[in-house]
Formats: sequence, C-alpha cells, structure tokens
Amino acid sequence: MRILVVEDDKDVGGFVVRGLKEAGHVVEHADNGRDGLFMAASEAFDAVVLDRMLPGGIDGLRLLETLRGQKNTVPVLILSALADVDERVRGLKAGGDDYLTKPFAFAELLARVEALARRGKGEGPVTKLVVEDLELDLLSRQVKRAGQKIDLQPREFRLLEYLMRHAGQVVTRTMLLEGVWDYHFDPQTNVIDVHVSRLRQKVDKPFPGPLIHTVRNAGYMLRAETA
Amino acid sequence: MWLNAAVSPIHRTYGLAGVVSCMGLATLLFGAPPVVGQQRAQLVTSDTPEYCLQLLDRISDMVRVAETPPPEEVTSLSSEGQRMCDQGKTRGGIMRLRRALLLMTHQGPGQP
Amino acid sequence: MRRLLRSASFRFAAIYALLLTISAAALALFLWWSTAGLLDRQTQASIEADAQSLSERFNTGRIPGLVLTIEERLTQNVEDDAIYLLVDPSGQRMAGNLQHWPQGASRSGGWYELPIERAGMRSLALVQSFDLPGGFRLLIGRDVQVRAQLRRLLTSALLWALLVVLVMASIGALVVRSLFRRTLANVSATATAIAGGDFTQRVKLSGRGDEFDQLAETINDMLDRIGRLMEGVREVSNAIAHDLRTPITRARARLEDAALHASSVPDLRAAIERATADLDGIVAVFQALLRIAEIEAGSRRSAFAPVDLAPLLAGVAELYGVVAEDRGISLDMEAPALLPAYGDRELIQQAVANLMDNAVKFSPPGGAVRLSAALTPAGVEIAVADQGPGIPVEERARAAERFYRGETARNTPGAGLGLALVQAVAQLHGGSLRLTDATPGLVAILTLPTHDQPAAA
Repeated sequence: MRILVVEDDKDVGGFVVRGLKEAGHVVEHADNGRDGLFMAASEAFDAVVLDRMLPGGIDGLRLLETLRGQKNTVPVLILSALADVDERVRGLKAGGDDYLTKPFAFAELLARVEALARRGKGEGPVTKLVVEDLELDLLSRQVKRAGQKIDLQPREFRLLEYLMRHAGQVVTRTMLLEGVWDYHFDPQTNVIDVHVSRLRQKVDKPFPGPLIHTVRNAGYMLRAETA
Repeated sequence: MWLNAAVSPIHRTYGLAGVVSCMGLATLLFGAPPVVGQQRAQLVTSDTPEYCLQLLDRISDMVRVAETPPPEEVTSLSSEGQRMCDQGKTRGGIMRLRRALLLMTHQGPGQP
Repeated sequence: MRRLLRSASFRFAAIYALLLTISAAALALFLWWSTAGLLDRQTQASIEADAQSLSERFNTGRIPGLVLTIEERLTQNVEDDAIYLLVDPSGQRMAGNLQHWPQGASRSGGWYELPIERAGMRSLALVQSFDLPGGFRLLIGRDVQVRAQLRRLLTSALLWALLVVLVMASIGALVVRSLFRRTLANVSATATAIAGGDFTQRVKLSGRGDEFDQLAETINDMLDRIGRLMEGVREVSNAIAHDLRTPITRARARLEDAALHASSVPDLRAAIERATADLDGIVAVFQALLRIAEIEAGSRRSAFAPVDLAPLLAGVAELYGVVAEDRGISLDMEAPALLPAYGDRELIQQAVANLMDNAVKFSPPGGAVRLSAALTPAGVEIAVADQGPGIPVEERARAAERFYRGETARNTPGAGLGLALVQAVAQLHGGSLRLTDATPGLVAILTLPTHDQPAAA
C-alpha cells in the first residue's frame, strides 16, 4: 500500500518509515506541513500518518482540515503527544480517522494504519464473513466451522466478528477494547487476553489448524494457517 | 432600535429622564412667545390723566341719574382718585375710580 | 485623562454625579412648571376666556357691540392689567388701550409678548391676536410684568441652584469614589499579596453579609481550591519523584547490565524488549497520573450528560467476568434495569473497571466478587465486594492516595493509582467513595448523584 508519513522528528519519522517499508508498503516521507500537504493533495495514498506538531507554518490539524476541505477522503491516522480527551476529539473532528498517542508501539501503529487503509477501500455491506472454513453469518448471528455450529455468547460473537473483519491484519488489545467493548482506557490486567483465549477454546481448539494467532508484543491476528 | 441593544434598561431609563429634563430646561430658557413691537414701547392709553377724566365723567353721569345719593364709599373713592390723578399718581387714581364705578354699577339705580 | 475614564471608581462616581444632577434638574423643572409655569398658564386661560366671551359679543353686536364691550371692560378692570386693541382694516384704532397695532403680530391666534409703557414705567404684556371678518383685527392681552419678573427670578434661582447641585454632586462623587476604592482596596491588597507568593492571605470580610462580603467569600473559596490544587500538584511531584524512580532505576539497571554482560544477540534483544516493557509501564503510570490530574482539575465536567449506568455496569461485569472465571472466582451482579445518572460515561466506566480490577486481582481462588447497584436518596450506589485480604481500618483513609499500596498488596502488580482515580472521578461528579469491611474482604462503594441532584462539589 502507498502510505504517506508526515513527521518532523528525525528519529521517530525514520523509525516509522523503515518499519512500514519492511512491512511491505510503499512509503513517502514529509518532514513539515507544507510539503506534507502538497504531497497528500497531489498524489493518491491509501493512508496517511500525520503528526500534529509540525514546523513550517502548517500544523497537523490545519493540514488535515485543508485536505478535507479539498474533498480528499484519504484515511488519516493522527500521531500526537497530546493525550487528553479534548485533544482527541479535536483531532477526530478536524477530519482524522484514528488517533494514536505517543509513545506508541510500532506494532500498534502498523495494525491501525493497515486497518485504516483497508477500511478506506470501502468493502460495502457484507452479510457473511468467511476465513478458510470459518463462517460468520451476520444476519442469523450464527457461527460455523467446518460445517459445525459453534455456540458463542454475544460478546464473543462481536469479538470474533472484529477479528474476522480485520482478517490478515494485526489487531492490538487497545483496538479490541475500543472496537468491541467501547472502552477508551487501558485496564491493568490482561482482560483481553482472557477473552481471546476463551474464544480460542471454542473456535480453534476443537478443530485442526488454529486461526487466531498471537502476534508477539502486538496483539492478535486472525488468518489461515498457510498464509 | 440601536438604543435597546447598546444600553441596559437602567441606563436607558435615566438617559431618557436626562434628555427630557434637558429639553424642559431648554424650553424654560428659550421657549417664550416672540417679542413684537420692538420699535418703541407702546403707551397704554388707560394709564393717562385723560382716562382719569373720562372715568370721572362717567361717575358723575351715574350719580346724576341715580335716584338715591351715592354711598359714602363711592364719594370718598372718587375724590381720592381724582386727587391722585392730579398729583400724577395716575395708575393708583384710575384704580380707585374704577372701583368707585364698579360699586356704583353694582348698586344699580334705585338700590339703597 | 483616558486612564481616568477607564477607572471604574471614577465611572461609578461620575454616574452618581450625573444621576444627582439629572434628578435635581427634573425637580427644578417641576418646580418651575408648578409656579411660574402655573402663572403663565393662568394668564393664558384668562386671555382665552376673555376672547371667548368677546367673540360671543361680536356675534350678537358686531363691531359696534365689540367696541362698547371693550370700553366697558376697561372701565371695570380694577386689577388694571387688561390690554385690548381693536383696529379697522386700515389699521386705525377703534377701541382699546393701545395706540397702534404692534409690528409683527400678524398671525391670527398667535401669542406675542409686547413691551409697553405704563405711566412712565416700562412693562410687559402677553397678547393674543385675532383676525375678524371684514379685515378688522383684535388684540387681547394682560400685563404680565409681575409674572415675567417672577419667571426671571425663578429661572435664575433655579440655574444657580443647579450650579450648586453640580458642585455638591462633584463632592459627592469624590466621596462615592473613595468609598468604592476603599472597599476594593481590601480585595486588591489580598490579590497583590497572593500574586507576590503569600498564599495564606484571604480577603477580609466586613461581617455585614452584603454583596461585597459574598464576593470576598467566593474569592476565598477559589483561593482555598487553588491552594488544594497546588498542594495536590506538590504531592504528585513528590510521588513521582519518589515512586517512579524505582521502575526507572530498574529499567536502567537492566539495560546497563545487558550492555556489560549480554553475550549474544538474542540476549541483547531480550534485554531491550524488557526495557521497552519497563518504559511502557512508566508511561502507563504517567498517563494514569495525568488522567487523575485532569479529572481533579474539573475540566471534564463540561462534557457531562445523562447516562444510564445499568448497561455500563453490565458491560464491565461481562468484561471481567471471563477473567474471574479463569481464576476460579465467581462473579455476581445485581442491579436494577434502569440507573439514571449524570456525568462522564468514560470516566465512570474506568472507575468501575478499576474497582472490578482490584476485586478480581485480590480475590483468592474460590472466592466471590459481587457487583451490585441501587438507586438511593443519595444517588446511584455502586458496590464492589470481594473476599480478599481487605484493607485494615487504619489504612483505609490513605488507601485512595496516589501511589499508596497497602501492606497486603505488596506482592501484586500495580502502581497504586486505581483507587486514586476512582476517588477523583467520584469527587468530580459530586459523589463519594467509601471503603468498608466485608469480613473477610473489602466493599468499595461508589456513590454518584442522579440527574436532578445538585453536585455538591
């Protein structure tokens, strides 16, 4: 995917660009607002990683507002050291699609950027999610694997749905908390891990070939074994 | 009105009172009827010795046609008035003569 | 001069002076109207009555009748103040005691002032002019010298009085200004002292309970609150300095150790990963501290909205239910179907989650955790009970302090910020956090006011 990174800090910027390139993406880098705006407006990207504090007269939010004013709907992930809720809301109101506070784990950034880019492609409404032999019917709320019905609690269903919608992508614990439980804080204990392990008991254990994988220092990913 | 928007109610009330007072004071000072006849102050002809005599004649006429003699007051007033007119205090004299005349008129002919 | 205009005490005093002057002017106007004005009105009424009856006489007797009546009136004019003049179309005098028609008295029905000479003395007459059919003109008036004198006298007296009032107003204004300033001086002196760094100063109250005292009380309350906040900041700084040194030291030690002793790339990688985890842990503590500070500063109160706590509690219970089950702890929940409250949904969520987190963390296997909620007169009461070691009575007061970790919690993970956050959320909402015994175990009760209850902040 084509990703634009607008970040003025040399170390963080270099780190992010390198990491994204290693993940197989085509990455462009701008280190100030003016260049960033020019590049974002003139080329087509699948996602933009935008730092809020930028030199050069145009800061992150202004860049974003200008882009949106030009009817540019590229998905944007905002990076910021400003963590409080009001700043989050400001960022999202300015047109951002996701907000990540510094310091961040690279795995988190990667997972969220890929999720954004995938969302940006616009999949349209689906009634069924399928990964290998796992089927999730959104209308009848039924789950089947290899033809066998699996009984899931409502929350387990939503958890599986989230993982399947992001199949092939890294899903961090924070993303799950936000996406499935609508929580915007970090609980101390590993509640998410317990829930995922519970889900695994029902979805993976009875069948050959696990689908739910743990990604070290990052989170989880749902994908076919062979991929 | 712009006044309503710019000023609070209290200020408005007092502002209005002030304006009205000023207008009142202005009329007080300047709003008199126009002065005319400035060339020369007019002489009032009813303040002259000639008018005195006119009144005296009228009193005499009335006394003559009256059936009864005039009351003492009338007599004293007319003589006093005449004397004052002669002395030059015309206005005082005319005033007494007028009073004498009034008394004569009110008394009426044939009334004691 | 501009600086003077900007002074509030000057404006106050100026307003006082202006009000006094306007009041005095209004009074003067009324006095004039009821005295000299009355006299003028009486004269005019008299002239008009005269005009009325003369016009009736004209209707019956025409010009000859009018002439007779005018002469009659003059002879009977004991007050000696009547002025009449009847002229024919050529301006020739026909009756009355004026000699000729005054120049300028041209309008029929118009009022004029006429200087006259009476037996050698100058005087003034107020006259009204009338046009009669046939070109005749009639003037009816009164000698108003006395009244004119009175009017002049009264006017000048009132104007002098107004001048006196202005002087009095100015003096009064100065008095008002100094009173104003004296009252404010108290407040501004305190403010200056505080700005200079003496934070113990408070505004003195006069004891009268008036608006200035109320203002002083409000300011003092604000100063108390600032004092508390500053104290809180000091506490946090101390706590950070004291308690965060440990994980930072640990991370540093591990890195230094790896630098000196690691012998292989995997070893180094492992050391780096542990250090990263340590740093993440420190960042998490900072986030929590900032969160608590943000909550205590009260800025999030503006985002309050009505929120139903029943689904919120169910969500938290469901989240932790699985964890509890995993550890062999039973989780019970009891709450009514509807729990209306007023506040910040996210903060309440986090507070309840913290309580649940603690309960699950400290419960022994086989124990039971109970989440219950009820609507009481004090508000919504949320109680989380566990069967863990509990908190001894002596420690309970300090349990909600930042970084406080009780004796019994020594071996469990955590920075000791969980209860501090719950306390902060409770206070922000005007509610409370109570810790009581469940023997064995702890019951944490979070009370939040409902929508119609005023927040007792």
